[in-house]
Amino acid sequence: MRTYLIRRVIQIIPVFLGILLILFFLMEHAPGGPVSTMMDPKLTAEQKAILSERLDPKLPIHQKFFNWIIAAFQGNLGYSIKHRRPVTELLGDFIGPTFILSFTSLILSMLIGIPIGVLSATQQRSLADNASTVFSLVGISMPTFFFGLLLLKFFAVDLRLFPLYGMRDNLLARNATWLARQLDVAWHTVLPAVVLGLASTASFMRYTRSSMLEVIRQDYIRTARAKGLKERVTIYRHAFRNAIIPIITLLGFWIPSLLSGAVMTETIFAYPGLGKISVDAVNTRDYPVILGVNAMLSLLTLVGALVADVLYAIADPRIKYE
Amino acid sequence: MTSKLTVKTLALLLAALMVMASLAAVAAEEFAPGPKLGDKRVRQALLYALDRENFILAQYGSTDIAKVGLAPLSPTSWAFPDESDLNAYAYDLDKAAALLDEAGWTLGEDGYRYNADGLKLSVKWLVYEDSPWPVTLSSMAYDSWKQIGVDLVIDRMDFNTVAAMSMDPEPGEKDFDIYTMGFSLGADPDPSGGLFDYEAFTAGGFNASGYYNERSQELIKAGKTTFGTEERAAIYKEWAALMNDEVPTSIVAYRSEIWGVNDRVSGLDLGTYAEWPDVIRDVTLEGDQILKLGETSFDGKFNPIYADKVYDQWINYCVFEAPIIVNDEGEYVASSIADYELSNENKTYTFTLKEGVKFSDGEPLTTEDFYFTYTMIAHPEYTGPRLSSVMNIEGYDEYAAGTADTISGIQVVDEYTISFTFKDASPANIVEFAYGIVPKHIYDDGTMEGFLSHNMSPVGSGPLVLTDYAPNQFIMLEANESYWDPDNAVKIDGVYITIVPDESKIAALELGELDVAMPAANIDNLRAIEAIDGVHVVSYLGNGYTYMCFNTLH
Repeated sequence: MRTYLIRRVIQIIPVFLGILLILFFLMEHAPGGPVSTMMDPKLTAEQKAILSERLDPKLPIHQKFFNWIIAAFQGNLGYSIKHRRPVTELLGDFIGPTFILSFTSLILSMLIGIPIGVLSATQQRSLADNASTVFSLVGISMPTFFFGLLLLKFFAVDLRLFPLYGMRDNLLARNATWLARQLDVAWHTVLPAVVLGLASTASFMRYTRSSMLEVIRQDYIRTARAKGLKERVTIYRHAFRNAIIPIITLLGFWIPSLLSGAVMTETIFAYPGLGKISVDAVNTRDYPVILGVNAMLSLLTLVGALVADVLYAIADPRIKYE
Repeated sequence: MTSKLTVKTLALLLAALMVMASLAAVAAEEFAPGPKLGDKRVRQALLYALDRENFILAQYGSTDIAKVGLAPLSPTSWAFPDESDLNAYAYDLDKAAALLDEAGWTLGEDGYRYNADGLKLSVKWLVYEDSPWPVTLSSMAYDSWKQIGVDLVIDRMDFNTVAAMSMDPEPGEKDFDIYTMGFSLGADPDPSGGLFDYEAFTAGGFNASGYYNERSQELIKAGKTTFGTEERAAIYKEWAALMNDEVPTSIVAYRSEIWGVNDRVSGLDLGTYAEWPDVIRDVTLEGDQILKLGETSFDGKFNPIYADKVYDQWINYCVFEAPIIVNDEGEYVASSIADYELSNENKTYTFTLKEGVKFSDGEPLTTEDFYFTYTMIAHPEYTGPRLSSVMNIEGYDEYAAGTADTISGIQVVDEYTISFTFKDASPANIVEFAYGIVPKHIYDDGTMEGFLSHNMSPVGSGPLVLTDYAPNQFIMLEANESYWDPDNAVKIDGVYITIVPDESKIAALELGELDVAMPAANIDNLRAIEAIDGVHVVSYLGNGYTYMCFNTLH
């Protein structure tokens, strides 16, 4: 196991560099540039050229690549062109809210999705199973935009139970106690987390259901039942543990999205996360931000896959790594 | 003696005329209009065959909210010509077909038009999908142009790519027939360097149409060298009418701005040229003394020489003060912190700062700060949009090349007097002083990074102070308690600006969470605001417009 882990960690390095190389290559060939959208007729072509050279010096791609990697190792991801701030500082501002939102929605969707998935597998073709199937179909196909506005209209405008936008009441935040401020953030996070969690709840449900269905038909489950074990013990201790593998895979892929942000949800609820910042960065060709965000996410994806692999072995002793 | 002089003068005049004629010939030779959009009649035909009024109805829901564009000037500008002199190109397919016939494009058997050389009248339109209007407009054009035999190819992409494909390539390599974009008009009508100026027809320049017209260039030049609002108005009126007829680039529509304002707010002075903080200077509030404003997004560059987003500039106008401001008529005039005099054949602006102007930390605002602000623009690492403010000043080139230590055109006379000398006299030069002055004692640590580090915690001499800011969440502006000019201080305690998505602005107005908000301008939003009790609508023609550029070399 230990040699396997070391090997896997070492493998991450060339894969990560490969991803970075592709990123650099794509950005080099994307049409437009950061100066293309600077719309000021007072800016002549000559001045634009000067700015362009200052913002994005024309260097050979390999030189840009190595410069970036060396700087990145020193903790310097460059300067955002659009915001004129260090990229690390910018990411620091938005990573917190993104994590709170994504983590809440992930926990929410696991807490709801997995038990219902198990339930609908054990009571296949029952009313509960059919209802959950319908729910997950609706959940997966409902556009975030529409669902978000629907919730806002109902819960924020008509019932006034939840706030319309934002992550906190900024005026309250100035003189309230620590606890009151955290509760305020939680209150603001409910609706966006539900919207963001809807689709993932549905997929957790479907994955759990199909995996459980496969497992409970196995011989050892019949044996467990024949031994006279309680149905609950059979399902949760014996069947569920073996059905968990696909869910771990799903979870591994979820790790990067904890920090990638959700553009739509963030936009509708004005939640100050990374998603909107990264989309804006692409639109304005803010290369240092695009690189910083994508490098972070690809590293997380690789780590997520590694964590999933390790968890497989813990969940299922049959899986052994040499 | 006198006759000799006359002969000499005549000879000189003749020589000058010949030089001018040959120059014009060179320019005309360079301009080789294409058979399609190089022909004015084809451009006009395409406009006649585009129902822009219907487009406005489809996009904004009412002709009260947007108006069909006529000329490249704001209808509220002092330079805008009489509307009756302008052609609105009202939807008329017969007229469009007749113009195409006249231009030699005849209908072929397949329903499309061909010219004598067998060239098909097919045009490529670069459409960006970042906002919905270009998609709406081009789809409408596709249908109606087909009826007059024009084949429209719609190429969809993102905004940045449209900008890169239209403006960035070298003049001969611009691969499009039409592109559309939105823009905002400055208060000064000077179009030089812009969409209609042949000198801006370069790689990276704004004029992508390649259109050349001798009279137009003369007028643009005359407008730049003539002083006096009335004289300039006459020049720009002629120019606007000419562009309305020639349409190398057509203004599609002028758009209104719509604000929802809570009735507890009075004295809010919104308008086309209204600058913050003049908008809120006279505001009084019933109840809570903080004005709550909803906005969609800020870049967080609260620095007068770096901001390139309108909303960032709002904040800058509140926090900083500039020597020159725009008045309600759209003219550039001296602000309350300074007076200026023009001398040296209109090339030199000498500013006298008012004594007693103080930054919010109590330090006096002097020419040292004024000078520092402009040296930061001239800094070799400067990457903001204000480069033009120093590039046209005498001695900048030597300074940039490193052969001079200072810019000779900027002279600090004493603590309250400073002069700026431009290379060429132009009434448009005054625009370069419409940006706030930053305090040297706070911003100067010798490096550009140190200068930029104050972007999110600006300090200026304005009537408001930025006390708290969280990116993409909120901005808190509070009244400057020690504002140097108590008579013109704001009457409220502060302005609290929250980031509110467009979809929620009206709901927030209804719930009373916002006092003031500007949702997207369309009839549904207008009616929704009107339906709210205790909230009223303020609407005016904004300076935003949409345009459609024809590649006249195609």
